Amino acid sequence: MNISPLSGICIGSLGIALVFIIFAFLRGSPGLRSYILTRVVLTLPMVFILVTVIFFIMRVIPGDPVTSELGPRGTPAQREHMREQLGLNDPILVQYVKYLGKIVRLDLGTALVLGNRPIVDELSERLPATIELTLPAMVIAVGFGVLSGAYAAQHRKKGVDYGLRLFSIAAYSIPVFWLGLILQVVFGIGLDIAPIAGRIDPIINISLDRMTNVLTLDALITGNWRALGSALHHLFLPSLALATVLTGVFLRLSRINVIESLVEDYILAGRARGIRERVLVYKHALSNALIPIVTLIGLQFSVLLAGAILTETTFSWPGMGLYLVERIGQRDYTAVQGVILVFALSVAVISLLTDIIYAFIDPRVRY
Amino acid sequence: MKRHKLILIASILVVAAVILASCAPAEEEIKTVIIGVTDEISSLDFSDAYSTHDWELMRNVNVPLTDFVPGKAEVGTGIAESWEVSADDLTWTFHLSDGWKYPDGSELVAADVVRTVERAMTLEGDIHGVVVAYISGIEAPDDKTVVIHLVNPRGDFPQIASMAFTMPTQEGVFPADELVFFPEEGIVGVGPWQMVEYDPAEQVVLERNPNYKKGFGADAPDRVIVKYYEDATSMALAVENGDIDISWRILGPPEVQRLSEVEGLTAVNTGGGGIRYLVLNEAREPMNDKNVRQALAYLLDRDEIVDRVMQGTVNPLYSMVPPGFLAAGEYFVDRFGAGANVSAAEDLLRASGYSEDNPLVFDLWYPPEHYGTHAAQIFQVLEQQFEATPLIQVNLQSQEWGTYVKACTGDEYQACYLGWFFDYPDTSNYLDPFAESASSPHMGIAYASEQMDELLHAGGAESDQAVRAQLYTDAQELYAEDVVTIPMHMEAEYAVFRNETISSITIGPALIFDYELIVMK
Repeated sequence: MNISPLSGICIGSLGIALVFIIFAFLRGSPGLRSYILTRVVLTLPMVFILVTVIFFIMRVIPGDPVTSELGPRGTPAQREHMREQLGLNDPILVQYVKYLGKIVRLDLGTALVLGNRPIVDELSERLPATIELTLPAMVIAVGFGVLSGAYAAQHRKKGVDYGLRLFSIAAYSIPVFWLGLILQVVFGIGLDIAPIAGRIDPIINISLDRMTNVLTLDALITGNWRALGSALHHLFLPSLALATVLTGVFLRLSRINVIESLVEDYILAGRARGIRERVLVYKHALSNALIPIVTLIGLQFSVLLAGAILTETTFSWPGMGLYLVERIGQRDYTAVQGVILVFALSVAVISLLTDIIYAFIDPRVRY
Repeated sequence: MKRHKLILIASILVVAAVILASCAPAEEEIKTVIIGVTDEISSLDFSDAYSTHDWELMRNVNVPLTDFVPGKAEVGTGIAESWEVSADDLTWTFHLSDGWKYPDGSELVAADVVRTVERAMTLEGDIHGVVVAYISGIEAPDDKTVVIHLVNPRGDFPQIASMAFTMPTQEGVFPADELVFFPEEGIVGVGPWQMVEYDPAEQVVLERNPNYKKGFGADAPDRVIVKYYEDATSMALAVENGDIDISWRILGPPEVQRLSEVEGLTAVNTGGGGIRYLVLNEAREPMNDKNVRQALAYLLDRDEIVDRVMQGTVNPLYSMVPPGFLAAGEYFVDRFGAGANVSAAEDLLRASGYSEDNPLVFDLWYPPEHYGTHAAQIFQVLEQQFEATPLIQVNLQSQEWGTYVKACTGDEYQACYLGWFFDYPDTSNYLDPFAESASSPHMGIAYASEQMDELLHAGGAESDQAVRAQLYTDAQELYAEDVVTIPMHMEAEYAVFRNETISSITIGPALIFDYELIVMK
């Protein structure tokens, strides 16, 4: 049986999530169990509503895939023929019911433009690229944001604190596409140390055997170090741009929580016992400040995906975001619906997991 | 802490080593050229493809019956070395030359051409409508002869036969009853290249066809990679920093202007590109009044738009047929002059009953994003030019492309702006769609003239080029007189290459980029 990378990633991720949820369900308190059940059940209508809204919005906005595909050359007869072929002449409710029927059978349909390929195949090629971009960006954003927030808290009201706070505001308010362009000009043209766009050097790409389509992973699996280096090199600017935009929030939240923790009695007691300030900040205060940050990671996941759309467009990164932008322009209803469905499911699962982790690591939380 | 520092330093060293490894020269020295484009692949089926970029890839892996002379908009021999037309002008016989081979060594036979054309005729792909409009049947009496029967006489059929649907395909590669937009193994033909790998979202890899009949120059590349970019800005930056060797379609005027001034880069004006024109919908008032259309033609100052908005990166256009094509000329200059003539426009408008108290009011539509960021500026200048007389009041309107194109080519707007690029390189393809009475309504123009139809039909059927030239000259004079549309400018396409790796490239006005003619350093 052939499993596409998309199916593999989805099945793998859902499998891990499911194992974790079952584990939490079995080990958790009755309150947590009831919470998990409620959240799982509520996820379904949420996704259903989102899919429905997108379905109708795509058909209400001006333009259609036939016009996009045929352009000014298309004659009325050609347009009509294509509409018939694509099922666009059916009443909208009939189209909707057909669409829902397909979703239930896990069939995302075929693209309405550019070769009418199955959406699952197209997303299979794009999703790994988005994962490859967003995962490191999130790791950098959380890592740098949290540590620098703690550092700013430790040096509260000093120059470095003001500097980091200023940076966090700037990072949060800078549009990612503008930041991306600036990084391209500075690192790509000015310093000439990073490629402008794409996922890997085109020549090295030829020698890389793709299995998962996550290029760094494929390079590692096959021991292709040149490809690994090139993939990391190409990942540098887009992940930096995306991470920078997310860093601001983590930095500010981490700083304020560490500051609050630093006036707690247990910190004062630690100081009285002669424990070094660095240990107090990074070990004791920070670990307590992490609880709301875990929640924020879940909330920021949707911001991450939105940022990925703009970052991928700026860096010609062939992921889900770029695909979504292209297909919105072409009014490819099924492709847009497919991407939104994957995004919605991802956000729903991540939020659910975050909430469960939150409940797990903080026993004070009750539902 | 020391342990943490060591781990951090070790991690940085590992990442740096891996990145440095990627920068090391390749083990094998294959002369590779990387070409950046913002186009996308729509279809790689020869019997379906109907887009400039698909055709470019196809022309590099295959050869049609007739082909473009490199660097020119003329059609010469392709896989056919000669051809003749029957006495009734309805049957064309093409004689294939010897020596054409596919990468696997098998020889081209006439049935391979028949296969592609028949699929285009029977399967309803994008090119289907064009093919059946011209061709009624095709046969291969022997391995070296292709006979094509036409629906109506066409003097320009050798030009039409240069389209991708006449390229040969081997038996069993494409199914007879189904279009395959993205063949798993890519595409091959008898052309200079074979597609060895492709990913529509990232890149196409072409390597030499070892059996290519015409061979390769000493400095030709061994391999060509076409890399896809989302926008012209990224592509322009990529050629500037050396990620790619050539930045090709589609660079906008701002990028061309900037890159032209960058040391180490050469910008090449291909002399060809899309034309831009104003659609005046004659099915609606006030554009059904010839005086109004002529007044607008008098008021348009193309040079001002070219200089002020486009900084000289486009050329003013005074006929729908751009320079280089049969019977091309400056017919709108001859009729209306090069600059604005306000008094002549006012005379015409007053003759139609317009005055300062009763001005001509109309909506002028444009798509704000589809033709580049400068579209809005073009229309602001255009509004000023038309309103140079108090007898005209223009309402500028913009609409998103998806809706716009349908409305503009339908019957919804009074006046709008569109672009055009030929399907096949002949004058007829720049006139028939707009001025022929059966085609014109589909372009949002609704022009109808028996005299024009006679000229265009005669021009299409005529195979004597001198006679055709006269017929198309007459047609264009009538076109200007009736102001069927108002040609505005031609956006010449540019390619920019790095002097460090490339010596020269050959791209003609037909925008055919023959990769085997790239000369490397």
